Amino acid sequence: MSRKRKMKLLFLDEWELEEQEAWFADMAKNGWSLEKLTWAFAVFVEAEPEEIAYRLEIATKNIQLEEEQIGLYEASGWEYVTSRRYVHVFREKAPQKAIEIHTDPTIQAETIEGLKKSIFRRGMVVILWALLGVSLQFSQFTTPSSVDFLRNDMLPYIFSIIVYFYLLLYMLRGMIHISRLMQKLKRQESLNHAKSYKTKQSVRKWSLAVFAIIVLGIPSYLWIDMSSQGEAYPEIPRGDLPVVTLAEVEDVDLTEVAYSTNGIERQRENHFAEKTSLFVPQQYILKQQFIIPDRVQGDGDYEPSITSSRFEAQNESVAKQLVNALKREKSLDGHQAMELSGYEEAWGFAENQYISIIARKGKTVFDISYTGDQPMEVLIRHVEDVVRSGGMY
Amino acid sequence: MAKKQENPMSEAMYYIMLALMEPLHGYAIMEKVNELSQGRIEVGPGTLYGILKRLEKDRWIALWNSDGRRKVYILTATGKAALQHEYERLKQMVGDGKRRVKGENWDE
Repeated sequence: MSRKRKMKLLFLDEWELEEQEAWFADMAKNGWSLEKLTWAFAVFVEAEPEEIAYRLEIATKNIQLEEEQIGLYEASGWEYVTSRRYVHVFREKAPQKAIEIHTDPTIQAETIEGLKKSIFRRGMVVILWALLGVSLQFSQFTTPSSVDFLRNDMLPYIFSIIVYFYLLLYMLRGMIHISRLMQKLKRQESLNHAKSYKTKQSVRKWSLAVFAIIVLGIPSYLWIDMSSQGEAYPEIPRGDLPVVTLAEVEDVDLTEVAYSTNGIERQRENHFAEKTSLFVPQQYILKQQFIIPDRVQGDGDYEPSITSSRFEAQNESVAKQLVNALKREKSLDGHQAMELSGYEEAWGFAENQYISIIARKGKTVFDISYTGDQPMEVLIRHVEDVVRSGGMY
Repeated sequence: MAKKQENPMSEAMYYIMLALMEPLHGYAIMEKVNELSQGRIEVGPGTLYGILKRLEKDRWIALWNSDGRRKVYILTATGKAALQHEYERLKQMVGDGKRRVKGENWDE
């Protein structure tokens, strides 16, 4: 007759000796006898419920216990059950019949010393690694670029920092726990074999779930994001656009204009893209460049161009940071503050035939780069119009 | 020479060394300690194992013979000297106590 088995995730860490002992004993009381431990699971097998004690023993020399030691414990009423790396599990052969394994806390402290060293070694490696990782990526967070907001380039950094942080917390927890355990034994106190563990288990369960969602969520979001990139230069749709257009600025009808380029080149110069990122979910980018035949400039064609974007950020603070990044990137000389009706902040920069305007209302940012004959006033008027004419198209 | 043991030695260690004046294996040591202390002292197998390994490292005890699982130990000459030293110390402690409490009927 095959007996029922139950697999449970190991939420208690290897160094939580008291908690694991209490957990195994509780399971036995409820009719589930520990069969084995794997790297992540405890396997229980259905049995007669009994009040039976479990004890964990650390191997001091190697990962394995000496045969002599196991034999000695067996003679004293303990049977060897299973191991989790160098933590070995023993169980009473009969309820209340075995001789307590450790009658002297000082000697038990010596056995835990090895585990403590190993945890501290691992802990130091993780701490150094995390500090290094975080400091290398620190600049990403102090002065983010517009690309950091507009594309999901920052997510891998956030992802790795979360992983570092989780590992750091995990190892610190282990280091603190094992040190406390050692201090307790050195004070000549015995371990508490019935320590409460349930809160710990459920807290772990939840934090692991949150961690798993983040760790699996970010890469899959990035993957979906990457695989759902549309065509590079989508055609400019007819009708109203949510951005300032070159036709508006130049006050011409698109049917009257000519293009100096063809094919992919023209698409690159004339397209309207809608993009998205975690920080700026809605992004509209219009690029236009054409010749206006009845106007001439010097001895050549008049060919103005515009890159006109509208960004709807996740929140106002992201929008503010995006404005700062754009200002920093678009000109070395710096933009001048301007008053634009309908906007909370606006910045302008004009030189030769180039005009740049960056304006923000709440979490909406407009970013315009224009090359052509029209003066700053005309551009300002259109930027003011586009926000007044409402939001979405 | 053997490394200096932390003094005084623990009660368990003293009795284990007393037991090992004759060759004994692990579980027999536990029983012997119990018998020698007239049931007062029970050494757990983990504690016994830890002390045996320490004594062996310090060469106060040595392997008498072994058939794999079961190892038989015996006190060495240095071990015996250390035990004797401890015995003298304890005796002196009791003697000192005796002189101090003379006439108080503590032995009754």
